[in-house]
Amino acid sequence: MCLQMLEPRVTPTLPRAVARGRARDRKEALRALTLGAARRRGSAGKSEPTVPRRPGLSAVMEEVEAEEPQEFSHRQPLRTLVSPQRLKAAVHYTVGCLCQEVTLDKQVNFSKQTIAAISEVTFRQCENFAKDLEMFARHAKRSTVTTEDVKLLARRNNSLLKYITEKNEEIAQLNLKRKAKKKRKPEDESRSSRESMAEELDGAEELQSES
Amino acid sequence: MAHLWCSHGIPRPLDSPSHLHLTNYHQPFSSQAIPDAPICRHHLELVSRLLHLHFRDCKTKVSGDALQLMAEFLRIFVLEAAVRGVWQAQAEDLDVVEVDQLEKVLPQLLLDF
Repeated sequence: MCLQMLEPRVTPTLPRAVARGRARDRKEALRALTLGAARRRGSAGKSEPTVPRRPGLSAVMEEVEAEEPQEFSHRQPLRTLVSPQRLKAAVHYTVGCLCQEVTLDKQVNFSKQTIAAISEVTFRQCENFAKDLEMFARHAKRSTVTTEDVKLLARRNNSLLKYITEKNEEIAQLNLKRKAKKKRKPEDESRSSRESMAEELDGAEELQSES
Repeated sequence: MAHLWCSHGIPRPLDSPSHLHLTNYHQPFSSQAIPDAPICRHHLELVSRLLHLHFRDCKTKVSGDALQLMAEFLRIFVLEAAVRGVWQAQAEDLDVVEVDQLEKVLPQLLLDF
């Protein structure tokens, strides 16, 4: 089986950033996704160059300075389209960061072709995952993909399924805590003290019901 | 029998039949050893864009929890690919993971996911 090597369209600056692991560069690289799309929307007449001369971080930083960052909400349908090449580059960067962590943990290096191959495989598998998720949601007569669909996607390996269900519970609990925090913040202190008293009462009631 | 092979340090011939090294079956998911990273906002955006790129229907949305779970799923996918590649390289007594090692672990990885 021979993998088609996709030569990553990233300049040497990206691997250096991977080695240094600067979060700032990652943020800029990903922000470029939204900004590049916004810029393209603004200048619809111009054609995008197929191969930019230096698609490195300097180009990304120019875009960052030129425009303001967009608000991102994952609940709304995305109206801006981003080219697959930019997404592949972003995936490649993220895969590089993850492989860097593995290298630090196991003291085994990854060749550049391996990282490119993993990111290519991830990108292609993403297509299958997305189509499956959409089909699962449509089968359940929904238009929103939920965690049940993701759990169904993870059914092939038992330990994977177990891990994903555990993660799901963790995420649900985290979100509940966050919601509880948000509700408490704007309220008065007296209200929050009343709530804590109510919780104590509930706790007392539970103890009474148990005994 | 595969367990016995794995516990030996003897390097296997590279042109052996494409059996996969069954190092993973007796262990839970390998990438759980890597410490958990907090889910980054930029990763969520990337995952969202990746999914929406391949949705046929534009009206399909992804809930927030499902997005976080998919981000974790893809993270595990990449980590599994990397760690299994490392195991393969260690089994062959190499200190660099090349594409050859990745090719050997890829079929089982795709079947598991």
